[in-house]
Amino acid sequence: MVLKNILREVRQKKKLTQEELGDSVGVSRQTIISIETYRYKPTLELAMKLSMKLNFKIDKLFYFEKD
Amino acid sequence: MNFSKKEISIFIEILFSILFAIFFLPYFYDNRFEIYDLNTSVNKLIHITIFSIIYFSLAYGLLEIFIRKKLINDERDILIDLKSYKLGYILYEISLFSFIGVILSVAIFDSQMYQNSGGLVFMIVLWLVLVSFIKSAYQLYLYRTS
Repeated sequence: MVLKNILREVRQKKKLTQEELGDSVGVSRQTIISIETYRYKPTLELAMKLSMKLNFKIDKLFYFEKD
Repeated sequence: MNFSKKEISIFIEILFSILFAIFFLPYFYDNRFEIYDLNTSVNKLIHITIFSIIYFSLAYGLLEIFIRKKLINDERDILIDLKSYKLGYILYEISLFSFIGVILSVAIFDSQMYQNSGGLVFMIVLWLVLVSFIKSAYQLYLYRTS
């Protein structure tokens, strides 16, 4: 099972840049890029911050996909 | 290729290791068969200290001038730091065991190079530069791939 997300789609719908989203949750633009490209798996704390900032359910924002 | 401020600061560390190896390591290599005397090496140590201060002041000063954005140290940075420092720690451990092995080899095999403290000093400096270079290179690799 691989942890994936729809962060990019949701962020773009909310018309936020990677930098704006990163600043609002206290991480760098590079960290947002890494999460969006599935290279970095955020901690629960960051995942919840992102979910709250984007006003999107955490289990919809992040999901497991079978290999 | 687009590099972040953090990645450029790692480049600065890598470049320092390379410059140190080019300018200062030959001195320790040339004196590897000598008895290390702190009084005769004091000039070299002052050179190294002055060079390090000027290099890092200039490099980080220029970095701050050209990239004004404040560095955010987030959970990804902490994770990458932990991984790279762990590698550095393992390498330092290996070097410590090698160092002990060399000291024992002096007693057992009567090794010429390490009979004088110059050889041991060269080995320590070489390991420090190598480990620092490998740690920084691995850190940069992690920043680019994770």
